[in-house]
Amino acid sequence: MAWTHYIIVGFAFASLFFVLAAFALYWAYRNGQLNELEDGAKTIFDDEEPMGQVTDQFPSKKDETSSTKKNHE
Amino acid sequence: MSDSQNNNPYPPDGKSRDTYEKTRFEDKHLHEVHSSLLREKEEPSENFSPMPLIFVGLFMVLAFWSGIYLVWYSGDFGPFHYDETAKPGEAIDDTPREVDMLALGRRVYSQNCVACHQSNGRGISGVYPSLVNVDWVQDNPEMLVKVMLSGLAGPIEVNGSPYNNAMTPFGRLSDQQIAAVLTFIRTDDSFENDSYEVTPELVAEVREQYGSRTDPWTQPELEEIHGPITGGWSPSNGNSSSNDENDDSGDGEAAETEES
Amino acid sequence: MSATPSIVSTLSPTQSAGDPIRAKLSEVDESMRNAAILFLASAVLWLMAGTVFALIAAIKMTNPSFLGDHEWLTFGRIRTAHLNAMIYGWGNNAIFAIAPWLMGRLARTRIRHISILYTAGIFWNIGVTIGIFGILRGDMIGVEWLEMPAYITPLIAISYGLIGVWVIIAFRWRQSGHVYVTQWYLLAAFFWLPWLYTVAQIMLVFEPASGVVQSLTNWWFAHNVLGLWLTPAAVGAAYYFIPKVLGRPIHSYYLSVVGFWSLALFYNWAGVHHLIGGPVPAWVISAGTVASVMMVIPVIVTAINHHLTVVGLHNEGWRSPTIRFVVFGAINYTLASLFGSAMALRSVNEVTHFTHFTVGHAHHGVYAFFTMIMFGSIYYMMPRLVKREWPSAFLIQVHWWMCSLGIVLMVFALQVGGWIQGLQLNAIDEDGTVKYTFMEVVRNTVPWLWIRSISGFMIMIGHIAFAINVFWMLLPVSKSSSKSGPTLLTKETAES
Repeated sequence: MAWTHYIIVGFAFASLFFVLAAFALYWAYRNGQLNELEDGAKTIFDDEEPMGQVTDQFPSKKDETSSTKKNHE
Repeated sequence: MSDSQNNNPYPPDGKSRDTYEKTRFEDKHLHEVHSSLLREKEEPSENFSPMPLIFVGLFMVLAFWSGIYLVWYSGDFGPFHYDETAKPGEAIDDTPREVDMLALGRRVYSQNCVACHQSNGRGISGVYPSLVNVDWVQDNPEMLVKVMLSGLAGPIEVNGSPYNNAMTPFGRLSDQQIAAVLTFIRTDDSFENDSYEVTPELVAEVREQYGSRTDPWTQPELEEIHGPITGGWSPSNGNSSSNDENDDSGDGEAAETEES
Repeated sequence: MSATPSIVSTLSPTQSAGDPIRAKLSEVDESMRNAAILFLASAVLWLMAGTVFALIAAIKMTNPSFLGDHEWLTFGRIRTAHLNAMIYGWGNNAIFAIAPWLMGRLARTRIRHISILYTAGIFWNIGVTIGIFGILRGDMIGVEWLEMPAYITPLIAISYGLIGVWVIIAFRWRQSGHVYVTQWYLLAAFFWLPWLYTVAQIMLVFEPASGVVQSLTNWWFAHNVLGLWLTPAAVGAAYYFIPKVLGRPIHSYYLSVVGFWSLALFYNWAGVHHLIGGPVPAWVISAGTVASVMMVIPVIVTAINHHLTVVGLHNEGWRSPTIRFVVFGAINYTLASLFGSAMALRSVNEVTHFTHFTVGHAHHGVYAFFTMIMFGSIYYMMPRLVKREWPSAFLIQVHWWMCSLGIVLMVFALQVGGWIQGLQLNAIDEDGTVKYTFMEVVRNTVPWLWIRSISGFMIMIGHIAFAINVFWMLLPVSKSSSKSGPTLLTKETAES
């Protein structure tokens, strides 16, 4: 293929990609993903692993109890 | 309770509580807010801090700089402009650069010739002829171009010593490369030939005439056209039938190199 | 083809009878377990192989005759094998373990038909094994980051495709309303990599472009594998683990949206800065430089989010291995990216190009940032998958100290040594001749390369500790060690 073909194909690909990205952003907007962002930040917490609780620590550390531990004393 | 109201993320600054409550504040939110406040005392308010202003300023500066840089260092966005310092709108100097034929010739020589003729040009006695101070190299350049284009085979005699080997053709090299490498071996001091330059035009002319030939040349064939190879050839006393009109480009210094 | 609709219907959790709409986290963990353990185990094995290759290559820099009479272990092959083992063996396997698991957790949906993911994982690893073997045999393609021979491309592409599709399926049938920022990063990464790989394979291997287009494509691909595959995976993971482990929401969530979209916008252009000084149209390089500098925006935005979330809770770093590794990685993301933006400037690049500085920068990005975050993620994920505690806190400590000190030492040595090397290469005397001969410059780098070998040795010790811990944990005999209190699994063990 001549280099001009690459430019044309590359341009087509790049345009397609750009359209996809624009569509994704549009979808996110229409879907309400960009509203109430502050609530979104909390979606990773739930009853099993709630907010305000540290969920990882070194195994069998002496000074820790096995119960839940609050961040801020 | 008043304390927790201050920490309350709803409503965000700048919105009146009334409208906010009407439109968006539901029991669900109230419940969430309180439960999270009970669990954690100082978490929420930080959660809504905007980007520090200094970064907004920094991003502005970056965008500004980028625009200027892109316009100023892009060689006028030409597809063949490699010099980023060319200023927009300035005429690009695209006159061809002067090529140092000796430097080009040295490179072509080291890439193509050293395998047989060796890097010092002295060849291997009895196998590959030397190129240093020999009659062939000092003879008619047209003949050398023919050898370069189609190769050379069969018994030959160089400076009186016999050789019987074959030289591969180098027709794939460009006119300029062939001219450069011949100029290099004919005029560079280390080859002691003290002859004169070969021009790409001469190569082009010979290529047009003989370029389609695939059999290697032989010494008798060449001598038939150019006369005996003695090294004593020059444009002025040329013994070839065709060189009178085409070798005027040869330098005046050719005259001095007759005797060797 | 009557099976198709039934498979599709089984993918959707809403249509399976008796399932709760939102899967519990422990159920998601459970559904992903086998495939994730396969990917993790192979990732760790590749990590070990890649480390050995790396150490051999590093020693060869100071002692060129080391193992010099083994054709398979010559520098050109062993360095390439190191790079490919780390990227396609370790990095991709780690992502394949963590990304579907994260996607499932965030989408609150179980990973269905795990056997397909499992099979894809086996084929992926067969493909990479043949590829590395091919490199050592001398079959490599002379394109950086794409050296694995062309005959494994279909195997790699198909198995990748299955894995990618599974991540997208988990997203498609998500049961959570909100799409968390990590999901954005992961989803984008799983679309970007096949795009990069296909274009690069076509334009460099199967229908090679000629001339300068080839090197442009090469660096566009190589830089974007780092920037649009490894980076979003690790940044996304950090966006999950930092708030999750600390139990505190991300500092400023809306900034993460800015960060994601500006990364998507700018990174794609940045690779061209590898060709500064090359015969590429000036404007292409300028565009690459500008995009690299504009990368400061997503980097700072991400830095604000990652670092300010941790502020005030630094002590957790001493208690939680995940936080320790992930925060280390996040800090180095900021540093490495800012270095990278600076290196894309023409005046800086004049010094750093063709020196060890670039090598140091690559390790800064792929190791100190990406790999450390992957370590942290694994420390979080494994106990939840196998429902068992890490067997040895001591080995975690060894792993942490050796790897963190090792990589800091390595980046320091390569970047300082590389900078000096660059200055010496460019130094000109008053009369216009070069100040140092090439061999002098090379000799001056030797002490720095020794430091690099030592740091590589430290990192290898860390990796051995890590590997022992991982495989010890996978062995059923380690059950006894969990009796002292599986601190982070209270709820799950209580339930099960």
